[in-house]
Amino acid sequence: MAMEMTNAPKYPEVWQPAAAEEAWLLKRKWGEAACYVSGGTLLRTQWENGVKPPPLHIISLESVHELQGVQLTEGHVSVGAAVTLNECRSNGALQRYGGLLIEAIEQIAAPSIRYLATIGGNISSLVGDSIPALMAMDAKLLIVRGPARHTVPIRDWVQGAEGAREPDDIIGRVLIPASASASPLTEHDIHAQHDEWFQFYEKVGRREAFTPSLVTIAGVGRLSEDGVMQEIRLSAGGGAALPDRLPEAEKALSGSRLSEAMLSLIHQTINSQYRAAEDLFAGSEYRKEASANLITSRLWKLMKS
Amino acid sequence: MMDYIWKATVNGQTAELRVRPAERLLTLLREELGLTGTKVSCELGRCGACIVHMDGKPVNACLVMAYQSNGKAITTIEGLSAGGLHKVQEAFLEEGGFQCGYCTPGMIMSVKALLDETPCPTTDQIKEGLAGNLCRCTGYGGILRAVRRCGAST
Amino acid sequence: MLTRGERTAHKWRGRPDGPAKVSGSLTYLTDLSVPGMLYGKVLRSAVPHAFILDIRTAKAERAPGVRAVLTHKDVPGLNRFGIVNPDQPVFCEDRVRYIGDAIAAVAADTKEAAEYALSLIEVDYEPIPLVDDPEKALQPDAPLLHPGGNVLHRTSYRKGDPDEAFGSCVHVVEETYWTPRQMHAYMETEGGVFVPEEEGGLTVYAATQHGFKDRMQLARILAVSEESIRVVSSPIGGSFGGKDELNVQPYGALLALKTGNPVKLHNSRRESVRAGLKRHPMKLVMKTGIDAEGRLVAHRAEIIADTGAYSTLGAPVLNFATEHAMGPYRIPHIAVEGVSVFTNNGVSGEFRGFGGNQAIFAVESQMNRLAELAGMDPWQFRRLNLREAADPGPLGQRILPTDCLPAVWRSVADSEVWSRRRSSRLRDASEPWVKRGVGAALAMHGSGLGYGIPDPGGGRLSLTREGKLEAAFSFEEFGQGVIATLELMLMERFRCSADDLSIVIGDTAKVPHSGSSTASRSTTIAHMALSKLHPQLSARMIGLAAKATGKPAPLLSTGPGGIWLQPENGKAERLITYKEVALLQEEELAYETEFHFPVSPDPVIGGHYLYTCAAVAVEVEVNTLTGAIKLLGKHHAVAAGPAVNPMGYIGQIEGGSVMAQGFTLSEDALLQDGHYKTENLDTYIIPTIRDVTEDVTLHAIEELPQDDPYGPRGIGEVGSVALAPAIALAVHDAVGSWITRLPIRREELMGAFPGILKRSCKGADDS
Repeated sequence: MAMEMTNAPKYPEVWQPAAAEEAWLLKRKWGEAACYVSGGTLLRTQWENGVKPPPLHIISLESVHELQGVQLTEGHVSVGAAVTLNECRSNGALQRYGGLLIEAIEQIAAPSIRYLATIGGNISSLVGDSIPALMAMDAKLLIVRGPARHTVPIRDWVQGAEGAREPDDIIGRVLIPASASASPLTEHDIHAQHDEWFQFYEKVGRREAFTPSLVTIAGVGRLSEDGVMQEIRLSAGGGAALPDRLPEAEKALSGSRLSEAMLSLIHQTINSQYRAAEDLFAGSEYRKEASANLITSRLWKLMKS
Repeated sequence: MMDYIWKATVNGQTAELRVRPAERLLTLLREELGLTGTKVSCELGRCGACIVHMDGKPVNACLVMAYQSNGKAITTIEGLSAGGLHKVQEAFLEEGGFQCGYCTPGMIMSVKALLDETPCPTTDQIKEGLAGNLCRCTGYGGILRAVRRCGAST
Repeated sequence: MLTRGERTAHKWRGRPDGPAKVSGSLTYLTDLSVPGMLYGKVLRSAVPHAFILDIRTAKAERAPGVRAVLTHKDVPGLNRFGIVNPDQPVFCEDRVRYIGDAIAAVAADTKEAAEYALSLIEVDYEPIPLVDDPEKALQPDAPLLHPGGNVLHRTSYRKGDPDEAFGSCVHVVEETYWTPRQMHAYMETEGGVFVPEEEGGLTVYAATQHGFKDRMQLARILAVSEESIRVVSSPIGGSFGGKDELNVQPYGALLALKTGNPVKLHNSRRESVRAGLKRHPMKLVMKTGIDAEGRLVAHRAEIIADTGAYSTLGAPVLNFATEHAMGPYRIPHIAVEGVSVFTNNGVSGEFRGFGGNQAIFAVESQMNRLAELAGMDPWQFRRLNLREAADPGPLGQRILPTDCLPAVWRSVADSEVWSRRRSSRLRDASEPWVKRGVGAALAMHGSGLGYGIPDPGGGRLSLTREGKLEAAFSFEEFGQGVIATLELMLMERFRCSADDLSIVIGDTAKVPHSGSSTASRSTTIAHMALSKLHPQLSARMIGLAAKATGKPAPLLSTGPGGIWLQPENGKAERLITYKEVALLQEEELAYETEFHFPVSPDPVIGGHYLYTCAAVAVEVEVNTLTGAIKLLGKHHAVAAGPAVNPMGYIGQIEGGSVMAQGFTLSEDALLQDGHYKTENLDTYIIPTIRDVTEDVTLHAIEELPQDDPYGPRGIGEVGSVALAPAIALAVHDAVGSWITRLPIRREELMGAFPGILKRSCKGADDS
């Protein structure tokens, strides 16, 4: 609120570079006084809430060429970071290969927000609901750092693994494997489909729609014909906690058969491993328990089918 | 700082204003252009009272900044009824889809956007399309009935 | 059921304020702009509890574009406001008691200039230990918020000897219930425009639910006559009780008079959350006992209400909660004690339901627990214990006899939703962690302000020079449909068309005193006023028409466009238009009436005389993986007399019901150390369209007792008061746990997988 301002009001200047490197240089120049903005929907909420002061310089990424469009390349769907959530949702290549991401997008915010909000913006918040899905899908990010480009697994980038994430980095593109593991969106539920691959995504909020997540879980995996878990990727997030994979649970599942005993073990493992957020709206115990419940129930359904 | 010229088409007419580039569209509409049909309520995109159409798509005017709407075609609630009440507005009158009316302009703009995309929406589609529009008066019953009425008559 | 069926078709009309609302052309008071207008902003306390040592405004006064900076020194009259007891400072002098307390106000050329000026005002605070818990506030060592101590009000009601009677009870349930700090969350926040007029007058364009009361309070603050102030208070974008008390008006008024310019204020949502009223959180401790047949014997209730920093309507709210704490049941031994306590937790005040929601949640929950102990169906248990039509009211006072309770009880008993409780709930074997349950509750809710509070009603009916039948009331339209209801009442009485009507509300310069638009009273006031005024005006017009046309008066009646002749044989024809009738006289034909809202003849403070009854059944689905609850179906039964305005009736019940859903499942304005943590609608969670079920039936029971003189009752609140305990019973039906705290916490309904699977084989015979 206004009374927290102690200086004469300054209003942001807006820069609209066409090239990614130009955007990056502007950020280097202005530093903390500048903010990358694509849709701006989350940022404007934070400025209005007083969580963050509005920046002196807005570096709009909306016109940056490199961040536009969705391309299906060899082995990947390459999604420009400036592509809006709504465009992602209606894109054919993503519908074919990025079903889990689309499922996540459908539960983010509301229609009008999704026309402005971008996939890059959702990821760069570090707590966006697309992230658990992308982690389970084994997605990578193409990062712009000056003139250089490099790819990094989304998990490493979110968790800030050594050197993975620097303050001036721009997310350029999101790379989703267009492989056997990728699955089209057919139903919002777990089912063995498409060469024994399965996937699931679940978001629990404080109401049915338009809510920050209390708990978000996602999973992608493959069962062999005789019911042995060949591949499994599980992720969880919610609240202010950075989303993460669940390596211990994955390890326990890998190479094993689903059984009630296994599900019990997985439940315990997730409960003890997952570092859940604690805030006014849900405690970490609740988040851990709900995450464990959701993941094991999805595996149970798989077991039964 | 007000050296940014914002030019857009608002309800079919060209509008040109000297503004701050990051000024929100809501302020431009209500205070510069006197179009107070678009309402201000939460100011952070969580209630939908400020929804307008930008190039035919519903957006929260409290979130969209001047530079993001420059050169675009904006339609507000006033534009929808310029030639007489739209069938969505008629349906709201018929079914009591409003009470205090403050959420109504944003709600109707969302309904219009929904019907433009999905002329005969299912209940689930209606609920998804209006998930970003809060109403405190109606409990949404009259709104659902109004939208169903529109869908049925398409 | 109440639908658009044939029975109500002639009463199903588009609202007169509809076209402007759906086209965005209606100018709300916060949409107003006038030439030369300045922008006002209020500096609110940075801390929830402190002494003010110094306030320095010099820098703010010198800031660019600033036209006035005001503090307590600039209040010419009483530096206080409050509907019942003015104890809230307009501008704090030496002490702040909550985070929304006002310290200064600025008027400037632009909003930004005003905000900047606020940031330049310097205030030296000396913190006082925070009082953030009503029970701690009652401790002897607690800091005192007011000279009279931390107790705003106490209530006490006693009948028989409960302590002794508990000894003879076969089953006793003792439990503590907690209700949340709900926020009104009207879509339009507080604000308006304040215009200084010639000769020191002032026009106030700002929302309230009682224009004349605002005028009185402002006159007291400004030290001017009430007549010099005009309050225009309608239309409003939602209120639900939250805009009845003053909010921005003192600042707008003072700034306008000081600068000589019109001043606009419009609270941001964060300002509204910070400074605005909330529902009283209550802790209710109840002990209730029954005999071997399941009849209620003794009931004790202790209510602690957190009233926050200032009085506003805290005392009447406690009175109301006290009156509703024993439910509509026959109980021979009762003791209810209530206390409303000052704290630094915001300000609690008027909110739809008015203390009833809290008390009804608790007492209905007690009934559910007792039924279980008695091995009885919870709905049958209630029937056994319901009060009879001619019984005295809850506080022993005489009330208008009413047998609405059995009617609403029967409606729920026969409802399809309630029948789902008995059906073998086929659970989806593929998702055994999802449980369903059905619950119900009922309530008798008082209308009017209660004995002891002036509850004046009145209205004016006239034939204008333009030939309009004009009704004038001081009510405000904040969505409840009062304009449409008045139109329907007039059309029904005069058998005229809507074009013949003029309805004037919400402007103290144009309307008589009708009292507040609160407490479900306006429909009754309007009905009573028109019942008196319509025959008077009608007779006069007919008399004039008879004289002018030479036709016999008994054959004349009012109709569309004017006075009609209905001959014994032959077709009806219109003889003379309303305008022509008007011009037959020099002066305008106008009739006014004043009366008091019906009260009990017994002087029981807070007691009501007229009640409406409601019952609701609800089916819920609980996901025990996450503890999330969904409502699957609702059946509302409401007995409030004739539905004058079916569209409005449905809207108010459905809307009240969803507001109650929020109260039960998700809403709580969280304070931590006296600071609001849920500052906007992203963290204060109200239901969206995806949270509601369309499986809703509304049964309006319109019959009134034969000689009922009061006609249709108000239904603005009654849809919101009984849902919470119905949901609690449904949750118990689904998962076996009893909810005692609202909003319902997911943790309480969650189970651990795969333990959940083992419990999935719970049979239908489990309760």
